Parts: sequence; C-alpha cells; structure tokens
Amino acid sequence: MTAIAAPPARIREAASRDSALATVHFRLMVLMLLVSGVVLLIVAKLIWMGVAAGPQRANVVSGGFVPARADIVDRNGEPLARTIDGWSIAIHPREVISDRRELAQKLAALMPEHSAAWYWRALNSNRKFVYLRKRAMPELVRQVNALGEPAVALGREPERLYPQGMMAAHVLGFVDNDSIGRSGLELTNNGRLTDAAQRGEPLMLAMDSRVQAALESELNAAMVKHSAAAATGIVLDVHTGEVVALSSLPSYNPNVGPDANGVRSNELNMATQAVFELGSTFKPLTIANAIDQHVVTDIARRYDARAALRVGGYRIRDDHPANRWLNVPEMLTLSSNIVTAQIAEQIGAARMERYFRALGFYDKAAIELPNPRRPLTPHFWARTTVMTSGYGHGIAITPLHLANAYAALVNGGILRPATLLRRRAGQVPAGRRVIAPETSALMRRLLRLIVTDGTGRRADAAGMRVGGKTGTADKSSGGGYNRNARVSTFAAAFPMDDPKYVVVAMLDDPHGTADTGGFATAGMVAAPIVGKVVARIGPLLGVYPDEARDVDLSDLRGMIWKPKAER
Amino acid sequence: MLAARFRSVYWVALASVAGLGCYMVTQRVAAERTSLEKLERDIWRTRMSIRNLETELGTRGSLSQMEKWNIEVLDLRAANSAQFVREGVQLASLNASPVPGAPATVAAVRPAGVVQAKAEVPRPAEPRVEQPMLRHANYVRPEGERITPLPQRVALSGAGPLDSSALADIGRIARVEAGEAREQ
Repeated sequence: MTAIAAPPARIREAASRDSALATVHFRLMVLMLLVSGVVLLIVAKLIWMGVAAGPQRANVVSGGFVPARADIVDRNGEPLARTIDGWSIAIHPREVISDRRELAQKLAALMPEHSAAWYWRALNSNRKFVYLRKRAMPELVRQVNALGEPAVALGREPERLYPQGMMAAHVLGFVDNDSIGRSGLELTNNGRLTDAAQRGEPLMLAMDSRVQAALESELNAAMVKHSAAAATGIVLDVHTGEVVALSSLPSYNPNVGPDANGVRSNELNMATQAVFELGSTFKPLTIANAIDQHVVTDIARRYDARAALRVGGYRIRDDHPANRWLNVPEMLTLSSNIVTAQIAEQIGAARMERYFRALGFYDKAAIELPNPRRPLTPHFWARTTVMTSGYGHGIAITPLHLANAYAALVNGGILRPATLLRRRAGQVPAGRRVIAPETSALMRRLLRLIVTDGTGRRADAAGMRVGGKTGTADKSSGGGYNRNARVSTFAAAFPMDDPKYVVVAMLDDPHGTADTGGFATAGMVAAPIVGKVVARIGPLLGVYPDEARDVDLSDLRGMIWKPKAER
Repeated sequence: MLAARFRSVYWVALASVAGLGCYMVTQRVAAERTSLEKLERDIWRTRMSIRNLETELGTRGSLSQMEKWNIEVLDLRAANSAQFVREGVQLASLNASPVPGAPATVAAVRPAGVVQAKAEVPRPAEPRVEQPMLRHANYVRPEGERITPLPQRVALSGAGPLDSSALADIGRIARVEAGEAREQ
C-alpha cells in the first residue's frame, strides 16, 4: 500500500502541467508558422516583384516632346503658334497676411491694367483663388515675388505664343485663358490641335510666312497712304487652291488678350466675313461666261457704247466714256459698264444665275475659318439685276470668293475649294469644270492685255507677266450708293503665260493722293499694291522675273482702236 | 576526406558566389539604366531649351521686325527684275565691257545716301529722318568745279578677258605661235 507516494492531487497537477506545456508548444508552433508564413509571403512577393515586373521607366523620358496643344507651322515649317510655359500670378485672398490696402496699391503699381480698388476688392473677396495676371513676364514675376506676400501664388502654365505677332492674326485666331480656340484656325481645328494622338505633329498651313509678311507690309503701306478704312489681300495657288497668304487689315495682336471689357478690336476678317460689291472685277468672269455660252462668238464684234444705257429708272454709264462702238478687248481695257451690261443681258438671267452658282457665289466660302459670310445674291433677277451683276453690282461676295473664281478663270477652268492647310501632291481635289479650257486660255491673254494696255498698268511688275482686272465700286449705304466712298479692288494672276498664283488686293474707302492725281480708283490705288506684292513674292514662290518673256498679245492689241496721232 | 567533408560548404560558397555575381550584374544593369534615363532626360531638357530658344529667337526676329530693320537700318529693298540672272551668257556679260576694246566707264557706285547728302550741303542742320541709320561710308562732294569727275575704270573690267591690251596680247601670242608652227 506504499505504491502511491505522491498524493493524487499532485499527480493530477503534473498531468495537467504536461498538457498545458503541450498547448503552449502548440500555440507557439502555430504562431511561428504564421510568422514564417508571412515572412515567406513577403519574400515570395519580393522575388515575384523582382522577377516578373519589368523595368519601371519614368513617363517623361520618351525622347520626343508632346506639347499640350499642337504647334501651327507654315508651309516651310516656320512656327506661327506655339505653346510655351508662361508665368501666371495669382493670389489666395484668405491667406493674405500683410496690409491689404498697401498690397493692393503695390500690385496696382506693378500691374496697372487694374486699379488699386480692383485689387483691394480682389484681396477682400471670399474666394479661395484669384488670377491677377496670366502671361506675366519673368521680370514682373520677380518684382511681385519681391513683395514678400506668401499668399501670392506664382505658377507656370501653358501659354499660347504667336511668334510673328500681328501677322496672319485673322488666319491663326487666338485661344482663351483655358487654352480653347476662340477664333481662326485655333477654333476650327481645336480638336485636331488638342488630340493626344495628333498634337505631337504640328499643323502645317499652306501659308508661306514670307509671302504673308510681304503682302501685309504692302497692304499696310497702301492703307496708310490712302487713308483707307480697311485693306484685304489674298494670294492663292491656282492649281491646288492653297491660300498662300491671306490678310485683313487693320489687324490685332493675338498674344494680347481682350481689353478690360472683354472686347477685342478688329476681329472681323474682311477676306471671309465681309461681303462687298466688287465691281468691274466681275467683267472678265462675265465675258468668260458669254464666250462659253456662245453669246460672244467673236471678240472683235463691236457693241454700242456711245451713250449711257437707260434701263427702267436706272442709268448705266461709263466712268471714262469712249463714246463709240467697242469690241471685247476694248471693253475690258477701258472697263465699259455699258458694253458689259449689253452682253450680260444677252446671256440672260437663267444662265447668269447658273454660272454664279457654279462659281460658288451662292454658298459660304469653303475655308477652315469660323463664320464665313454668305454672299448677298439676287433673289429676283430683274432686267437691271442681270445687267448690273455683269459688272459686279447688285451682287456682293467675299474677296475670297473672287480669288477662287479668278483661280478657276486662269487655271484652265477648274474650280477647287480653297484651303488654309497644306495640300500634298495626292491631296489636291479634282475640282469641277466651270469654264472651258479654251476660254480660260483666251481670258489669260485678255487679263494680261488689261495690265499692258488698260486700266491695270500700275500692276505691271517688270518681267512678272501680271494680268488682272481693276474694280472700283461705290459703297452701298442705306439702300443707295455713296459716290464718295468706294471699294477699290484689283484681282490678278501671274505669270500669265502659265498662271501659278492669284493675287487679290482690296482697299475699303481709299482716298486719292497727289501721285494718283487725287483719284482713288482701283487702277490708281489697288493695282500698285499687286504690282509691288508680285515683284516681292514672285522669286519667293519660284517665279522669276524675265523681261524677255511675255504673252503674245499682238492680235488682241490690233483690235484696240487708237487715235491717228498715237498710231 | 577533408574535401568530402567540406563539399557541402563548397557548394554553398559556389552558389552564393554565383548568386552574388548575378546580383552584381543586375545592379550594374540597373545603374546603366538609371544613367541612360538621366541622359534621356537631359536630351529632353535640351530639346525643350532648344525649342524655347528657337521660339525666343523667332519672336525677337519676327518678319515684321526684320522688315523694319531692312528698311530703316540697312536700307534694303526687294531685288528688281534686272538683278536676276537667267542664264550663263547674261552672267558672263556682267563682267565684259559693252564694246570689246573700249575702256569701260561706269558711274561711281554711290549709295542712296550720297545723292541726298549733296542736296543738303547748303543746310546741313536739317535732320533727315528717311535716311537709313546705317550707311555706307560716303563723302560730301564739294560744290562747283573744284573736283571734275573722271571716268573711272572698274578694276575687274580692266583685267577682263576682252579689253584692248588683252586683245593685243592674244594677237601677239597668236603670231608667235604661228611663227613657231612654220619653223617646225
């Protein structure tokens, strides 16, 4: 009975201690497994990351540079619009710590576009963030920073810069503060310019900036010289419809935002958004129509121009009456309204309207510019309408319409939509025939005759074989015509032996000067612009002056009657 | 025996050397890649600054500014049709006298400013704004007959291929050669 030495309670105690120990071990084991599991997991993840993940590369490093908004370049790659990083100056009004009134005065001294009161209101407004100036110069930024106000926020923001300033402003347009196009190509091509896939590639225009600069400089000189209200010029490639230069003066600087009232002056593009009665420049178009329609079968046939025509209550008269019978070359060189009216009447209303429709005079100009103006065309073709529209009265079109029609007139008779964008060799549209090729060939010689022997003598740039037609129209005002205000236009093409470019120059309300004998007619004020422009841009466009070459006009000259003394 | 015992140690050492080598290669590649990225970022930054400088240059030298300088400072005009040479014969004719043998007389080449300067001699105080700011060096001709204009020979045409002395030379050489040919 001595077998049991320990009391049973202790045995029980030992047994329970063993099991408790086992439990502890078990728990420790589980804990260790958990920890090592986690460690293993982390190690596995690290290995996985090392093995599976490819090399991480910084996003910026892509070699190329993609601007926030695509550049616009001319046909030679010269930049016309670019997005750069500009400075902006803003303020957090709630965080201003210095004296607000004093700060407002200092800001007004640095940025005088707003008054000190305006800045004081801005500083006391309950807004979180107020822009004080966008497009700030680094110098100004440094000065504002030197004020030492921590609430001023200086930031870098993409800013649209037009390196050529006012040049081609109406073509390029401008963007608003949020970099959204608001005018010109910036508006019509906004999608293309901001599209992530395409904005790395600059938008190439058909424009040649050197030609544009020459055109604007000559137009501006003439506008100032003749105190004209406005001036417009277009240079158009006759074979592709590309607009090589397009200018509307007075212009504006797209780099400068609107004034305090949000108004931007001179925004109207006179070349596409304004219509004019372009006068006698229509005469070659009418003659081409008449020849195509077999109304004029012989240009030597004479028409009575001895007296003014009376049609209804209206008198059609010539500015320089010849008081004799005139044939077609004489009618064009003397610019006779009477003869043109007779020919237009023979063509008739239906065929006149059909022809003007074919030339696109009933549609808005097809061009990549916003809000092109629809021409004012006759709804009812009265007898007077038929006659006057033959010489460009009673129908108002944009200068671009005229340039496009002249391109068709001289290029063999094919009308193509004009474009501001570069057309590569394969992208030129086929166009549609509006004038017979033989008629076009004759018209080239007649246009050249007007410059050598007619009203366009002042456009005859030496060796450039310019041909064109003058057009002086009284400005319509309040239902009648103002005989003291006129629109003087010269529509031309060069070189006439193989026309490549059409040049249209127009002055709105020019005044005569001493060297024009006080006259403000197109031959005196608009033709010299074309002459000077052609002499400057010809060599730039690959047309070199050659005084040994010209169009053979001997047969046409023979038809022009001259008084005995001059023969 | 010893080697056999330490075989496992060798294996471990070998494996760790190989692993370390691989790791070093990885590190090396990563370092190269980093420097490449840095280089690419430098290229990008340089392109950006080229673009900015180009833009600045284009803005400062815009076409209207150029025209202003051309007219007001340099007095340059667009070339006229007589200044274009169309063929080689025309180019050669620029260097020849109008008549072979006759001395070429040319008007003294005067910049535009000289003619105006002559007119302003009696009243030199009057400022002339239309003159270009930068002009060729010129002098003001004295009034009257103190200097009689002499016909000037242009150096080039004097040494030209067809003036009288050259023709005489050609004739002399021809005679000598003809004589030599007869002797042979």
